[in-house]
Amino acid sequence: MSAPVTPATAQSTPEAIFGLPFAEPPGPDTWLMGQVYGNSTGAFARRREWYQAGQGIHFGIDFSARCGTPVVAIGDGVVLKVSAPEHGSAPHNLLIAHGDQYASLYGHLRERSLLRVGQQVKRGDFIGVTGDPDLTCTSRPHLHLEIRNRQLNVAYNAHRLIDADWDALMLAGSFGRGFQRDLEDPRKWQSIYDQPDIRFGGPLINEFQNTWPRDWR
Amino acid sequence: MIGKTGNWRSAICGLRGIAGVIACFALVTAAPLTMTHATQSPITNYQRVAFTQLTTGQCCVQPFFSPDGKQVLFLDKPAADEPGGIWAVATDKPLSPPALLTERFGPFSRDLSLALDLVNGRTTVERLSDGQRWTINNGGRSLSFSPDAKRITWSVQDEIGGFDARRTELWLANADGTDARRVITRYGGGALAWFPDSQRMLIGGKARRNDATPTLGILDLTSGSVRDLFPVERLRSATLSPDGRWLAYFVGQAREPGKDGMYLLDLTQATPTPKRLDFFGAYRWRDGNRLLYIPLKPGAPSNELWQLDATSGQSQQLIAASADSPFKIANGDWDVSRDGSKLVFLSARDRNIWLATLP
Repeated sequence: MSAPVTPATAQSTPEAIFGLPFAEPPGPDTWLMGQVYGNSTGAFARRREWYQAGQGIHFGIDFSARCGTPVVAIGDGVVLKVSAPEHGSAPHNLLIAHGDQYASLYGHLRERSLLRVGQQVKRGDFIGVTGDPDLTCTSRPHLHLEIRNRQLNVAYNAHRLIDADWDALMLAGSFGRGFQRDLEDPRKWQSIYDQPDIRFGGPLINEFQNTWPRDWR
Repeated sequence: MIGKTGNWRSAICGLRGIAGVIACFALVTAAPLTMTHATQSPITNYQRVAFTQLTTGQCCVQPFFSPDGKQVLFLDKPAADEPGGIWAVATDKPLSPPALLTERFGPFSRDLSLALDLVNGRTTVERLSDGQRWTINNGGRSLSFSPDAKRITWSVQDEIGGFDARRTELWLANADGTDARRVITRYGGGALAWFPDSQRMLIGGKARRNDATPTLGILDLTSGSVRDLFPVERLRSATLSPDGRWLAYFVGQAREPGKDGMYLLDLTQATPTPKRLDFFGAYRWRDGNRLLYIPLKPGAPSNELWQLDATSGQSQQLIAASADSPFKIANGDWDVSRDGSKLVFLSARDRNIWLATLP
């Protein structure tokens, strides 16, 4: 007899075709979940500044990691752009195309990646090292990872596309304070798996009239 | 205790429908134990954890216990024509329809007597017993109630600059907003937790912007004096035991890699010295001496639950990993009742709320 339950981890999701961006397992001395993809309470609080370009939600996944932590490619692909400031995530970023459907963006790298545009990479290949958007390595060192469409104008819910035990990762170390509620429909977008994809430059999707946590200063 | 578990089995297995089947199945398949930690103690008289499914329909997240532990609460609006607010399900009436507790959303004081809200941009506190409301002149900021609900604190933080150097002022007032005053300033830190006496707070951060390392300290709110404990970099998830004796925390991705890990601190020592623990994961205090923890093990079939005796340093496993166990927590959502007898969690298996009755 097996329990009649519905698995809810990405491990069983057929879309989860990519791997994690680190070769090492998670832990306090390697990397931990930081901010999840989606309408997190932290993203909502900064929807009109940091995340306005992504319709107000956190359009990637943040992994806490000390500066200099090696980052690996999440899938086979071809280097698309190196240090392209028009895509954000300073001081350095790297974009890899995965076929004609997806592209991955690795943000807040400490240094310009040594890879060249057009270079082939395999899943698990070293592609750069983590940095800190505040350039201090003591403020908020982390990797910001996005999965976009090949045209780079849509960000997908990366939790659905990466084969990882997100439920376990969210337990320890995450900045998780849950997802912002629309009090007219507080059950909407309350799992990492049902967070919406976004179109860059589109209108905010989380300007709720009545929301919780409140829109504190 | 075995008899108690048997009673739970009778109650749960008697439930109708598929939910009852799930609950009953999980209950009778609690797995035997394998111990893996160096500080473990031999398990004798092991008693199984009873699992009870509380809700259906994948309705709700972030469950928490009522002060008396008899209800599990969550924010919800079950239907368009029903009010939003905090809804409750009784722990002894699993799968019964949730009932509306209050149309306020909180946060609340620990005893649920006071509710916080933002009304027209102004921070408002409401006494739920009589509906009396008053505003707090703090610029529309959130605030924290003291455990006895008699005091409030809030933070005024710089909005620019590195997070490890931002200036934060901690303000204190009576719960009605009177006698508001700034009590301390820290850089890259601030208040971490209330002590149960409502007179002290655990604080972190730098006393001066150019200090090399943040310092953990205990702030006396009446005098404004600080008892510095020790410098600690990248301290996270600081959690005081209910009696205020023990502090659990972890250090992650410190500049010195050897500092990373989980720690336990006995605050009654004259010179508290952090004791490094040989595990890492999520944790909550069960009572004044026992820390519940879930080791970080991605890919495991379910979560394990362990219990650390803070005084002896010995760990005991309470729940083993099993593919059939409902104890796979989603969203990081779990809470422990104040009497330490129960744990509630959002299960990743079915996204319903479950109760674990602990031995």
